[in-house]
Amino acid sequence: MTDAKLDHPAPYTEAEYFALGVTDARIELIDGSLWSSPSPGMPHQGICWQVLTALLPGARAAGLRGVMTINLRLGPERVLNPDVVVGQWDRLGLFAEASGIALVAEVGSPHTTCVDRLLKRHLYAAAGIDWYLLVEPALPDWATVTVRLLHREGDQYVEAAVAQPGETLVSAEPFPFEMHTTDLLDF
Amino acid sequence: MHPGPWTEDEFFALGECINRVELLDGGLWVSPGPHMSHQAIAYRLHRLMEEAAGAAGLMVYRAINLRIQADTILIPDVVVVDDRVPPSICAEAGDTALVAEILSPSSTTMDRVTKRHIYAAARIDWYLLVDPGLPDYQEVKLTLCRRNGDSYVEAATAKGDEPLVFEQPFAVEIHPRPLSR
Repeated sequence: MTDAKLDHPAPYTEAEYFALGVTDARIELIDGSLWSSPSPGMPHQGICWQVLTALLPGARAAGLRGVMTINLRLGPERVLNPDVVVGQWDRLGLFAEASGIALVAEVGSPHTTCVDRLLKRHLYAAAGIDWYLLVEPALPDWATVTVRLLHREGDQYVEAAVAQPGETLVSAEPFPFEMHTTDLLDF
Repeated sequence: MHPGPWTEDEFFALGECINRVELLDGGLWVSPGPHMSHQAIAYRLHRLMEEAAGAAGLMVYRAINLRIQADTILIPDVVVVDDRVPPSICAEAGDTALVAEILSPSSTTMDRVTKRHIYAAARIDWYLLVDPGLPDYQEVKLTLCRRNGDSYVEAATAKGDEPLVFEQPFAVEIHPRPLSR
C-alpha cells in the first residue's frame, strides 16, 4: 500500500476502492476502511485451487459457477475477496453481488487473522450468504486439513458438517458435492 | 509497497498518517480520519476518568499505540494504563487496565466483534464500548464489559441520564448525556 492511501481522511467509497485497481497487497473494503492483508503463499493458493476443483462439478450441474479471489460486494462500501465463491453473477462484471452467492469458502493460512476469522464470518452472515466452507490446514506444516461446512441461521453460522483429516465431506447442499481432505493437499 | 506481512518496525516507520492505521497480525487496517464529534466524545471521556484513574495509580491516554502481541498494534480511542510504566512510543496490553472504543461508521463491526475478541484475548480486564448514536452523535450509550477468561461479559450499560457506575478498575460515575453535545 503506498503512502497516498494512508492520507485519505474521508471513508473510502466503492468507486475509490475499485479505482485502486490491481495492488501489490490484497486490499479489501469494509465500511470505508481498508484492510490490507499479507499475500498468501503457495500452499494456501494451491489448496484454494483444489477446493474450487472439488466444488465445480456439483456447482455446474446445479447451474452455478465457481471462481477464486474475485471482488464480492456484500453491501454499500463492503467489498471482500473471498478465496472461493460459488453462485451466479454478471460474467463480464467487476464484482459479484452477495445475493447471487450460494457458497463462500475461505482457506486458513499463517496470516489468517482475527479479521478473517471473526469479522468476515460476521459480514458474510450479515450479507445473507447461506453456506460458508472453512478449510483449516494444520500449520505450520500443511500436512493435514480439516473442512467445516457452516450453514447460516439468522445472522450466525452453525456447523452443518465436518471432515477431519483423512475424511471426506459429503453434502447435498447447496448442491451435491464431495470434498476429500487428502485431495485438498495434492497441490 | 510490499505484499508480505508488515512488521512492527515497518508499521512504526509509517510515522504519522492522516488515516488511523493499525497493525493486525501483519496486516494493515486503515480507517478514515475520525469525525470531530467522535474526537469530542473521546476527550470528554478522558477528562471524566482522569482524576479517578489517577487516584488508582492509572493514567488515561487517547489514541496511543497499544501492543497486543508481536505484529499486532492497535490504536484504541481511550487507554488506561499503569502510571508506573514510563511513557514510550507504545503501551503494552499487560500494563493496560481498560480500553474504550467509540463506534464510527467505518468501525462498528470491528469494534463490536473483532477488537472485543482481541482485547479480551490480550487479557485486558475492562472494555468500554461507546455507541455515540450514529449518524448524529446525539445519543450516547455506554456498555462496560468485564473480562471472564478470554472473552468479555457485559457488566453494566447506561444511556441518557443514567450514570454508568464503575468500581473497577477505578471508582467513577460517567453520565452519557454530557458526552454528546
